[in-house]
Amino acid sequence: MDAHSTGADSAVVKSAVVKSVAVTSVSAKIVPLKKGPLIARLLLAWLVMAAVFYSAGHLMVQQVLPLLQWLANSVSDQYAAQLSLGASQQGAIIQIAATISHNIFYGSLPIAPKGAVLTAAGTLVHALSPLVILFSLLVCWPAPWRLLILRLVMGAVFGLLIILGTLPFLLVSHIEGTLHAATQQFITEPVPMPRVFYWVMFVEMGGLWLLPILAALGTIGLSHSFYSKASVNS
Amino acid sequence: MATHIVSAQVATAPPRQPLGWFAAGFCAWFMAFECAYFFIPDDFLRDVIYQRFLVAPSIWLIHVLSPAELVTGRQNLLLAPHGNLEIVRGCDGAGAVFLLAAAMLAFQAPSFRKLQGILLGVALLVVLNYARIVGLYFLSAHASGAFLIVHSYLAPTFIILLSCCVFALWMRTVPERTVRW
Repeated sequence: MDAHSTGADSAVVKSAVVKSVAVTSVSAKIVPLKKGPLIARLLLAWLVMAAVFYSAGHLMVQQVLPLLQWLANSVSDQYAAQLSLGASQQGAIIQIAATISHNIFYGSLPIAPKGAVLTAAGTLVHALSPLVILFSLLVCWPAPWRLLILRLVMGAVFGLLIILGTLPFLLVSHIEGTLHAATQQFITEPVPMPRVFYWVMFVEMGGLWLLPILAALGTIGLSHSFYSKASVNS
Repeated sequence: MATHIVSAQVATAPPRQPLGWFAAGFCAWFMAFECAYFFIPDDFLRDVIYQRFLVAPSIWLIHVLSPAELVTGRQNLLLAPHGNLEIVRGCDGAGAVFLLAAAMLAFQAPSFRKLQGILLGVALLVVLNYARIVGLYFLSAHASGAFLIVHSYLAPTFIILLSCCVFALWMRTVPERTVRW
């Protein structure tokens, strides 16, 4: 009888319960946490992670800036987007400068001429806030240190995917919004919203919190599975 | 001995639910809430929900804390000489409520427990949201340099993590022999 879970959806097996001393740390199931004061751990994790990403977040984003820029340019061929990091009174910002590639028309109406540059910026910490949630959840969930390291590495991968899936599109939505507004002012009937708006609306109205929670669940589930298999094999 | 351990584990074991199913249910409930929220008309949200349930109570709280504050309300706006605070979709605390409710609905527990958890959790989040709005008002009035980082970074992450905490604590109260719904 296989005594360990093979995946997140596998049923609980009695021998797995017998062999697993710390059931909550091996089984990839939802079980209530028992160790230590949860609120205090989570508060401490939040403080640490908020400080880490506030102070070093721009260094992390700098490493993936070319990839973010490539994703921003994948939204539309109407402009060439360039991303850069900057600073403001409120902290680090990420800026987008979109140079119009060719004259943009809506029907026969001129909207934007070739060579025009549209700019927008956003506070970097807002875009990094999912990582604060993700890593706070990962570090405060009790685990042996090897499992914790595995979890943090996997969390970094998920965190990167979240940033790549949200940040460039949040920036591009400002550019698309400007073009949309420029078009709408000449036309009485509603101009169709750019498709990127739907994703950005989801992100800004709760998706930015849902994604790191799902990433944390996925990380914890996968890391438990890998760790339990490694424990059996060793 | 193995039987005893199994018995002991089963007798005291917390409720179990495959993680994947929970995540799928959690996602589905959250998306349902978001879709329903999206279809609420802007003017109803602004003139009824925000004005009556967010702006007016927040102004009352501000006056309780600092009677000298010259703040009034109109629709979704807190109006003050130093600047106005506007409550809009995405910045009204609904996201945290949806996340907590979705998690409790997705978790295998008796319906009564879910209702109890959602009501208490939402009540806590409502109180936190008022504290957030009032705090942001005072920041905008007296420490505007910190407004953006608190509004877009610290407050949302704190509230979301606290929601996760509330859910985890609620899970502990769910009895191990649960009725499947």
